[in-house]
Amino acid sequence: MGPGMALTRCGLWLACCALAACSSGGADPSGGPSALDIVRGQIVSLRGAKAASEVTLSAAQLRAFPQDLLIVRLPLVKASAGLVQQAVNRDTVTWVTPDGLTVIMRAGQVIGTAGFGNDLASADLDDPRDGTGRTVRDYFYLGGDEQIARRRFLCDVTNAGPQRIVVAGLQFDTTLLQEACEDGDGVAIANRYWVQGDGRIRKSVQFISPRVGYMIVEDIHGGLR
Amino acid sequence: MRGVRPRLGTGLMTALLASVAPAIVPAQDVPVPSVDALLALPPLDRPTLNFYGVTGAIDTPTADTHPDGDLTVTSATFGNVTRNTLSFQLAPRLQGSFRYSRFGGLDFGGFEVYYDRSFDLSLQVLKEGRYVPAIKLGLQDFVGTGLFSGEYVVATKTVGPFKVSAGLGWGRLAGDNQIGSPFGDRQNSDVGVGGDFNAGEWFRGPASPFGSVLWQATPKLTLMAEYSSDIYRVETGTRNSSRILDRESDFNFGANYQLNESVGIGAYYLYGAEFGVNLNLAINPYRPPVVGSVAPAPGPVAPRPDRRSSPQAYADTWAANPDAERLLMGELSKQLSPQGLTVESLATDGSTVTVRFRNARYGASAQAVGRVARALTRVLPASVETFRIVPSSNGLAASAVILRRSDVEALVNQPDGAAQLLAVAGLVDAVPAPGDLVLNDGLFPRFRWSVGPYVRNSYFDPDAPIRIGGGLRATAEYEPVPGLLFAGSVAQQLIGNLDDSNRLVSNSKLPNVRTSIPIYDREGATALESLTASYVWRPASGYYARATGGYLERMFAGVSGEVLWKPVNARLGLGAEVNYVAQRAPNLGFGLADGGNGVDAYDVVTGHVSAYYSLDNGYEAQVDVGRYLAGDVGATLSLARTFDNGIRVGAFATMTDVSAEEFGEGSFDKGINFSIPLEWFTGQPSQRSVGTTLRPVTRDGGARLSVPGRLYDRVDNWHRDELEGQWGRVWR
Repeated sequence: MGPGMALTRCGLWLACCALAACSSGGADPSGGPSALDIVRGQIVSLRGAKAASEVTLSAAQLRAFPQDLLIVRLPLVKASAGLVQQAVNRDTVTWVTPDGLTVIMRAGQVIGTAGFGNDLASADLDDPRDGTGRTVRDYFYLGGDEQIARRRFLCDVTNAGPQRIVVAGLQFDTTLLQEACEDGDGVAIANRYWVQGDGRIRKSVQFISPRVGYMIVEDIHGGLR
Repeated sequence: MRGVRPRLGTGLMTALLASVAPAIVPAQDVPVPSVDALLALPPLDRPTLNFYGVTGAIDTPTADTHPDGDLTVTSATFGNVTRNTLSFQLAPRLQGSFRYSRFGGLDFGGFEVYYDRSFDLSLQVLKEGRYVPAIKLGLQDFVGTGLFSGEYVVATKTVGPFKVSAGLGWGRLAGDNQIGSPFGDRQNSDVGVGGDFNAGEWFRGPASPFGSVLWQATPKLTLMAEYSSDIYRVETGTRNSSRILDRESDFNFGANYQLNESVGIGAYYLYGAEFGVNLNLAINPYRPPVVGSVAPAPGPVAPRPDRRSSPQAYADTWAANPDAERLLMGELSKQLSPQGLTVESLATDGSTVTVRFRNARYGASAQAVGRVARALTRVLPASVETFRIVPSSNGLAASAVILRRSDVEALVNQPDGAAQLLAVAGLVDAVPAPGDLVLNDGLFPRFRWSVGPYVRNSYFDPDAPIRIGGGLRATAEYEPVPGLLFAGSVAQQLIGNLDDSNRLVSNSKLPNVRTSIPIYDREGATALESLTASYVWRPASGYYARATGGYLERMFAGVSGEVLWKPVNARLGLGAEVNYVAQRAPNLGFGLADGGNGVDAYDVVTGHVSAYYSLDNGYEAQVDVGRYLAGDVGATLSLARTFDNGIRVGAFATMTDVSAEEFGEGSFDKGINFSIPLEWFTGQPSQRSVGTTLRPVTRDGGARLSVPGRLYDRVDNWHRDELEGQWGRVWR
């Protein structure tokens, strides 16, 4: 086999590898991850950041949006997104981003996420608005051992007084509730809620998970339509 | 965009979000607490890996252990010696290793470059306490050629910032400065063809002391000093070997630097004369690079209207419509196909629905079941209360997960919802099946084809440690009804050195059922890899059956039949397989072997009775007793450790009535295998995995037919152990 022939064969094989497999809609339409994805996944996990996306609408456009919107920002992974309601199931509401990531809310608190990697699987959270000043927050996460483990935080809620906030260009008079929590290992988190007079949480900063960090949640249209 | 499309206003949303209006995004006015303290899991306390790829200092072992489940790869070189070792922490105190060593220019045993494969095993018998050192017993190269075999006992104690170890070595590790023979004399092991246990020799003969001191200078840097008892007799030149390294002193010095938690690199000055480098990589199945999924979320659970206010929604008169199943399957497929799940058949009587589906995407069985349940709530009329979700492994109904719709609606977003759903889920056999299952006529008859590149490897040929071949492979499948499958695969090799082997004439005394592989690699550049017709079915509750015929694998054609008994909730499975095959012609066409190209005509009846048992903590055992391809009769024992995320590491050995001399090099068939799902690396669901089976030597004894579609793994995937193992993903 001459060198020319060898080179042609080599090139043909590499071209096929580059195209990956062609198929009639084989086992998995998405093709599944490839070796390249493994490398990419490693790079992402080393950097610790998901592909960032940003909300680029103006305040007026947000207010004028035909569906109810929830704007979330994740400072740790430097991403933000606008979510619309996907489903209401009993007392929970599932909000979804255009690319299929979801945030599940109950009574203004985030009780689950999906698609962020290192998601909050579920949560049992006391309502900080109930006035007792002490709350218990149970977070459930899927661990590396494929078991769901609970992380329990005991919290003190303090009323930090009235605050005027701006959400999508509108001003709201709210009361700021600060929730300082600590778990059994001494790890501390701090959540904040800006609560309107009627009890609606207009804006909040809520802890999601160690890798995702905190989520700033803004309710754009709740109670205004 | 993959996954389920959000239903409302996506197009409008996307268009607006893509606008270029300047952003008056609410400013970063909200200082958010840092999460550094929460980020990292406590770092894994990994000791160093020595030049033999086991827990140790430089060239000697220590009594420390690696974290349970650690899988490590070490490549270490000095002088002209290179050792590549794969080690696995089989249990918290038990470490096993497989090593491939290269001795360049050794001129030993007729080989200028000498390659050696060896297995190690070590057991920590005592954990370190406040006053008590850790103590470990170890076997080095205990089932290999025996020339480099050794045993040791070593103790390690932490003294301040130092780890001090002292031990005794036997065999190869008893070089100079021997302190006598505490347990009697060692016979000069008659290695013969190698590969046998010389258990009578262990810890016998003279022993020598060795020791080491390790100092953790910084969190990433470890400095080491060592006194080694290995005198490298063969490598420093004897009558039978050339000198390939210098040894002037018993002392070694070096440093290991951890680049990150997984990768370490070390530099050493060994035996007063040589410089060495050690590169090691460690992964732990319990610490995946990505935890959880980064795939799009599953679709929501659609709640039903309130029964009191809309009782008409719960009417089940729709079930009388003969088209009901077909219409429902159409809607269900629209929901499930984008998620990598296909609907095979469906039956409903208005209050119960049975769905048979196939999973092509999710490594976690429970995740596939959860997605089907969610889709059912979105598609089915309100009167349907009970879901029988039946996973089908290419036509073989493997189990049935019973869920009540009310439970699905109530538990989907509940705290600890996964565990709550498991408590109310039923798991039963898929048969007896409802009589009125309607086949998805949008799916059957099913024809699929694919063309793509492939890579094949062959290992441990003394002339070339790794042979690789690559080329193009075309496959096609035709499935007229579920379970009846006609499939074929054709390959054309384009590049590689698989066909370069010089070992075309086998020295095996047995029929050349596997030692003629090099001939097939050379002659079969254009290969009909397989062409089979197969049928799988459920003869009775708890039983699974398969019949396959055709060109079953590269080397054999014939017929194969198998029966498996495996209840869905049991740990034990029993199976029986019978095959009648004839050896194929090496040109891998349609013909059978007839003596051309050195492969004689050969046919054989083979078969096995098998027992499969799942022990606790993910350990699995399998025993196969029967007749192998070369006509030899014996048994194979396989042991594996599996992790819930699908990582699997195992070892196997086969003993048959073929004597060690007849078997040839290696004495008996043995090997290790490992497999790591791609999903573990990337966090994206996939059924592909990386891994391989490594046999030190491929001979003709204890060889099994490679038949596609064997029953146990495809069925056990959907039984209690594996479903529960990743049940944490059911709502993902």
